Amino acid sequence: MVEIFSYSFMQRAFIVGNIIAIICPLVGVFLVLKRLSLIGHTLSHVALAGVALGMILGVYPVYAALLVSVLAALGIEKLRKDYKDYAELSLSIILAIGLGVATILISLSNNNSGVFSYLFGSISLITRQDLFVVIPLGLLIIGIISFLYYGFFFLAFNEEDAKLAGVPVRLLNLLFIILVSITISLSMRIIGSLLVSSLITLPVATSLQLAKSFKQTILYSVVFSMLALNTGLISSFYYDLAPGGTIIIVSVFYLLGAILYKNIKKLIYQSKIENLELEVKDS
Amino acid sequence: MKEKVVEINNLSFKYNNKLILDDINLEVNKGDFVAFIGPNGSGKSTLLKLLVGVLSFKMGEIKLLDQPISKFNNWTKVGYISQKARDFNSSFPATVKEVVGANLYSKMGIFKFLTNKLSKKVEQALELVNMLEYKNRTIGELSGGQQQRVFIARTLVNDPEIILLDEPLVGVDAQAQDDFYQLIGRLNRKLEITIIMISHDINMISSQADKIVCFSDQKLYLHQTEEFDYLAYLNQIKTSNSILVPEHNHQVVNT
Repeated sequence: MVEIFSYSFMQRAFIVGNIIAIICPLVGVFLVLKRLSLIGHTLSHVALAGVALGMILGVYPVYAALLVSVLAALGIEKLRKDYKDYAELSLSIILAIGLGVATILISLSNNNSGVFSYLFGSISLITRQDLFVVIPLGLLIIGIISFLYYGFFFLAFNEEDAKLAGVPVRLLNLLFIILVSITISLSMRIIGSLLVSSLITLPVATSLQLAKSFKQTILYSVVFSMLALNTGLISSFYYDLAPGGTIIIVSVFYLLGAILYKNIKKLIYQSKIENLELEVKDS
Repeated sequence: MKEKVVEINNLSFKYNNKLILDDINLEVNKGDFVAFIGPNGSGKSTLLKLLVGVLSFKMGEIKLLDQPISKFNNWTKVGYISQKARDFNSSFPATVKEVVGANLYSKMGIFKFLTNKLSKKVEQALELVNMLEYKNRTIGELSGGQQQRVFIARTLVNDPEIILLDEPLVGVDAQAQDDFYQLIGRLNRKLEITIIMISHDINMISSQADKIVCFSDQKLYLHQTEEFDYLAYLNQIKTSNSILVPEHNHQVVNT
């Protein structure tokens, strides 16, 4: 067990991974409750176009991905207003543009292995530069969401009522979608752009099975995501598996476990009630 | 003279070029319990939305607590429970306390969290609507009537002067409706909160409201409850579902 931490690239992977395991479900809870969980999927594909662009221009790919996905996020917000009753249409439009541009840029870049590491994620390629970007931005996201906790909560619960209560709805919506795009750009490095959205939604789905309050929903989803990331990273190291895929499959197991737990609990509860009814009849 | 909390002067409102409200006037004093009645589409909900600034108007004037609505920024003093209030996602994982507490947003500091002091306010508000024991339950598992009480508590945390309710009890059973009206009546009498409520429920109007505003032909007509002929009203709605306002002599406001 100690062996795994003796490699400096694994140390970096654990640091970056755990920060990502906190911020993904943190923005994920609000996205899922706003019924926008596919935004992660869309933005991660657009971010891929940013990565390819960065490689062509010789810029650090995460920076390029950040810029491109923030722009795309603003585009989604704009289209969401234009197609008020078809919120998901704005996502497919931006997804189409992102993927189209990404494939063209990848074919131009002649650096397929580089792009691949962003597509599927990679542990061994995490550099010190990645650390210096992920740590401050990750802390920034955690900070902003904790400061504005009730504002984001109200926004997810009921936008119109939030406005009346003095929540700056437009500003927070804009800020939030920027946070989402930063989260995605940071996460692609380790988990890969194809799978980022799963880390945004799966732990939240697991948590929703068990949580009894909003606070618990957030807490549980962060716990499940961190558990999945660490078990996933360790098993991918020892069995030589792709880290992104392993992390996601581990989260799926947690989700199945939570569903099973809930159903068993329900069965026990029902049989208790039946027993009580029998006792009442007997007496 | 009584303090005016709502003042509407010569207000007209068009929606998609259709005139909804035509040159209306209305005054509501502190502590009034006003019922808005009228057929569907007569502009009752529209007027409530104008009063809380969800809709904006071009002609006329609305004053809230002696301030023109365009300059009014004390929105926490005005509680509004829309028809859509209970339209939220019923599996939303939020407790009663979290939902009520969220309304204290503008009273929270830089950190948007509930402090102990604010939590106390939430509990006091829940106590007022008899829902304190439900504070840790999730909002979705409550009945319609209980949810409506929670939304009342949500406006009460901010010590409102006015509460506006848009047909709050659609889909709530009769007993819960009764309890709810009594609660609103109590808040009105004990805490002197001005109530403006859209309702089709003649029982409520007779037992709780002291003023009735009829919406008809883009105009408003004000009646004191005593002068309203309930028997005639009941007889008329008995025969037809579409007539919600009985024939009666209108007394034009402010003339």
